[in-house]
Amino acid sequence: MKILLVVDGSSYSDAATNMLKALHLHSDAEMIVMTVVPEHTFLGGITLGKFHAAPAVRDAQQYKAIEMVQKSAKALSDIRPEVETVVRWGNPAEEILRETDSNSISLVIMGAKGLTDPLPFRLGSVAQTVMKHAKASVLLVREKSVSARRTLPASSKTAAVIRVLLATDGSRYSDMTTQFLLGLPLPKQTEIIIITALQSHIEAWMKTPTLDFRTNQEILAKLQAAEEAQAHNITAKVEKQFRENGYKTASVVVRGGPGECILAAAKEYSPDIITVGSRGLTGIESFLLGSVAERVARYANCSVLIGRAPK
Amino acid sequence: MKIMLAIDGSEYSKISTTMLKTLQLPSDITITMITVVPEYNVLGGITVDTILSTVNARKQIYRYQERRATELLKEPFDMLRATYGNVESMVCRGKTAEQIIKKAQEIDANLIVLGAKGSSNSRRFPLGNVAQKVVRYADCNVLLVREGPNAIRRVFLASDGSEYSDQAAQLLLKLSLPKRSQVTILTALQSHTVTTMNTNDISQEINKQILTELKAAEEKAARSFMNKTKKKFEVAGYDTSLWVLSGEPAEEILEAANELNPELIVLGAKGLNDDKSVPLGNIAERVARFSRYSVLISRTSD
Repeated sequence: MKILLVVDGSSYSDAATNMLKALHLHSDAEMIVMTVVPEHTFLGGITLGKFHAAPAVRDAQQYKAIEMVQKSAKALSDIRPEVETVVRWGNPAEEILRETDSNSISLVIMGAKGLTDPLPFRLGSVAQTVMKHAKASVLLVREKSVSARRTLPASSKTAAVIRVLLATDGSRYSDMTTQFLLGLPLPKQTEIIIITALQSHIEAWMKTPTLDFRTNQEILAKLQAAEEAQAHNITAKVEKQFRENGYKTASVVVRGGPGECILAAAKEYSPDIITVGSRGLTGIESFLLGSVAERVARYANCSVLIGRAPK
Repeated sequence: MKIMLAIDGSEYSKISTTMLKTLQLPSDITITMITVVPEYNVLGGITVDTILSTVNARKQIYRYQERRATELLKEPFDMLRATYGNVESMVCRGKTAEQIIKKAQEIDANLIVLGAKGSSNSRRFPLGNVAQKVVRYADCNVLLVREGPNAIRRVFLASDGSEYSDQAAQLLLKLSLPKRSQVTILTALQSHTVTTMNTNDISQEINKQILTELKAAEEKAARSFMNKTKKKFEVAGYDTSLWVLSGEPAEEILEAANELNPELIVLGAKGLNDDKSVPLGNIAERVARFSRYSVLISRTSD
């Protein structure tokens, strides 16, 4: 397995580096630290290269970039002595996606925001593009990732206990995410809380005046009963897989829009990571990222892992 | 020009219809209204079909749903018919966003008009999941409606001098809005956001010098392409103004909109710095999602 850690010198990428450390991954996982020096196109198609002092700037940027990746590589050195470092120039999202593809990366770890992203949007523009288009799982790290009370001192060789809120809906995308997590694998003391949302949009659909009231009620009651039984099955199956692999697990079945339910549960359980499949039940093949994954990634206050098929 | 208007009976469908009427588009447009009877998979792959025991019951319900769907279309149909000559409607079944995109392709629509949210969306998120998918994956222009104004007083046209913003300007001209509408052309200088230069390894002096030069060059370029666009709108008879902003474009555009309350923000699906292969650029994505005003995303089907 190959892991790509993307850094940009912001506090978010420090958090991403710490997260990767805290994951205590298997020793045969190969790690690459990468940074991209952005080559921005300004209005009128101007690039920095046009300016007289450009060579000096280029050198300084290259130097700074090397420093950045080496700093992260050093931070990782106690878990992995050999970490490859990569410095690229160009459009950051494009370069990250290219590296992910050409190097068969299984997991991209990066900050949920970068240096220049305005706060109100909650998700950086590079993170936004990478999570949508990467053919690998993507872990978007937010600063308050591994919660302080459960973090052990940096010198400690034992991993902090990580709490994961795993969203599932029984679709093949959530199966992929489960397989991905089991294959990492996470440290055994990781707590996995499995959440399944009964889809309330069915109720909303019932409210749209396409059916008369009584028919609505009857169908809805049957649907809900059948769905609830399925939900418990799905949840139990996933829970069993994690328990058999030695994890501490818990599960919860809730009713409502999946995005909202997952975010509400995250408030309650304060996980370090929420994991969602890249798409869900209503996902359409040609759409790269489902709306639930998109919303959770954007509005969660913790780190979010978008799961894709393990490589 | 062919327009597809998505209707789901929600408040947003009403305002989308009002918006389409208020825009006073050229009379030769064709409007196709579409209502999708949604087919959902719930957990475990259960569909409503699984629950309905007999074929007969299924048929009955289908017929009923389709009749009700047709009824949903009646009011907006009459409303638009009073303004536009060519109005059609269709009902189909399936996954809503997918059907809207597919049918728009089939009829070769130039523009999809839909509410920023639908009947089943939570108030918590500013963009509904159908709208979110349509704005990203449709291969034509998309108008996301958030308000149903009675008149178009002001339109924002965001521009970064790229081919995408030229296409957005062309689209807006082609729509031929009422000439009372004011067109404000906006652009955001990005020169002060160069954080890569905040490094101790370049002397302050060089840093400052480059930033000054960059800003001047950007401003010059901005004036030049904005004036070119401005002329086109003036020739077409619009009252036109320019606004040069400075900072992250989406944030700047949204803040400017909060000040002047335009009825419509028009911008290209992609911008100068967006990955070519991505269907919706970062700035368009952010403006579409977080705007309080209606947003027209221009996209050529190439």
